[in-house]
Amino acid sequence: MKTTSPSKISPATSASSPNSSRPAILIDGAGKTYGDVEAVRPISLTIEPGETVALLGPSGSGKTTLLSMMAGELEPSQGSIHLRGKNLADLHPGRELSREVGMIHQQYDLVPNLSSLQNVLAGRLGDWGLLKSVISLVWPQDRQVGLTALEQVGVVDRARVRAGFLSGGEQQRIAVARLLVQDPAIIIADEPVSSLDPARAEEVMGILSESARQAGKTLVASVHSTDVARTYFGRLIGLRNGGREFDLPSHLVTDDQLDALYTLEGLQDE
Amino acid sequence: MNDRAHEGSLGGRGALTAILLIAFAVSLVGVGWEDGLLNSGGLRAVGQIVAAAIQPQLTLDVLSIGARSTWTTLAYAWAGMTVALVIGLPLGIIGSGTLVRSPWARRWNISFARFALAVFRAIHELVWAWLFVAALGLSPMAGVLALGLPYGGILGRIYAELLQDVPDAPLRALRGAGASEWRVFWFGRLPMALPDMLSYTFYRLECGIRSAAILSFVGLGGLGHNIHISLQDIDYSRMWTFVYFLIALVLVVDLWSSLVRRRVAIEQG
Repeated sequence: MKTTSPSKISPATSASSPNSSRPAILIDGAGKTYGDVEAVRPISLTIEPGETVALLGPSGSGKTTLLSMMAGELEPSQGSIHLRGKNLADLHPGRELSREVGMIHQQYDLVPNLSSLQNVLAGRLGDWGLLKSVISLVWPQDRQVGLTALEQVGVVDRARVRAGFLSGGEQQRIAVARLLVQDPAIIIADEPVSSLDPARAEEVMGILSESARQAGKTLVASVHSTDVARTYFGRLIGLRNGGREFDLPSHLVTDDQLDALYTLEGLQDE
Repeated sequence: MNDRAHEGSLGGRGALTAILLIAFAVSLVGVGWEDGLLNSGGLRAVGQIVAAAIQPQLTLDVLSIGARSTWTTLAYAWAGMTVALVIGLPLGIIGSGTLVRSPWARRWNISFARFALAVFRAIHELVWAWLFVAALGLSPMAGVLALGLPYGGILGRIYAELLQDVPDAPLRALRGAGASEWRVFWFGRLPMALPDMLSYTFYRLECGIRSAAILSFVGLGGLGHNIHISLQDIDYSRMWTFVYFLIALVLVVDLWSSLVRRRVAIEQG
């Protein structure tokens, strides 16, 4: 519970200085343990603004845990994480945090009773006043922002349909559109393989990485297909048993390294 | 911490079950089975009542009284439900403890609202009716309040639980998008709980119609009042006419509620 974060890195000296000089994500010895189990071994890494990073590794390798820590949804057991120079632990949950980072989850997390458009516009809730939020339940506000995002992910024709009615792939696209409307500097995505078939999941990852690239956003995602990772992401990080195996620009990652990442898991059964 | 709390409540639940079982056993002994629970001339009366069921009195006179008292009963039920909603909706929302984030404030919200709701609910509408008739006389207001208070207590309690039982993942996503608890409530919790809340409210309206009929025995007019009078006159076929009106009224409300529910269900998927 107690987090001792002896940050050796001096945090942002001034919030107004240009962001480009600071790394988007700076992880300093952050790890997560549950009792005796090390979900993520203490890891340090730096991700620059605009980078697209894919986390690879078999299930149980700590991808989701690491992503959740970067998104501020999970507190590290040790170490610290800075987003654009600000200590994640100090960011106020709500508007302050939601401007820095947003996360796409594995499971559908839309409100099934609301229309796609309303779900997408929920990305604005951090900026809207309470009155505007309530009015928006009946007359969606800032429609154009929502429709543009829906168009970007290719489901603008579903704007009026209730989210619970949509297919899994469409729901994930809506979740991506909501994140685009939220417009955080850093996008964290946990690939939705468990709820989508591989082809649909690839499509969603493709849309996400394209949108991030166009908007110049930092993207960190767990990816299951090595082909998708090499196609859409500039940097690959291999995780196994909560530790880092490799961390390379995607064109330098060899097939042997990828094979080792997935096959060793079975042999090293502890 | 959580585990221990669960264990504690499990032990408490076992003890409670035992006490309730013992109370039930004792109550079986407590009922005087041998004396006078059955009316000796009852069997003949049952025959007459059954026979009258297939020949209700359908004169224009009785039908028009039936129609008017149906309207009265519905009006009582409707007005009572309005009072119940005014009480139950805010207290239910507060009692769900979902508008505040700190555990301390949450516990206070829940305790306060649940206590108020329990007080309304603990007293049966018939007892409320006696109290209000004593205080306000035989006025429609007495009937409406007698119905509205306990129903508000029931609605509020169910609303609180429905609002708490909403799936968590969508709410977490809204918080991740920067929404405060109030916005999470309006944009996530309420829309997800609404179909069940609506459906339960309709069910309560049905119950309200039956209760309004009973309350009219107290002298507030309506279908119950006419059933009462017919029984006193031993005019069973006339009584059946009013009973059929009552059944028809409940059926119509049921039909309406299923239409509304179907629409909500289609739209939410």
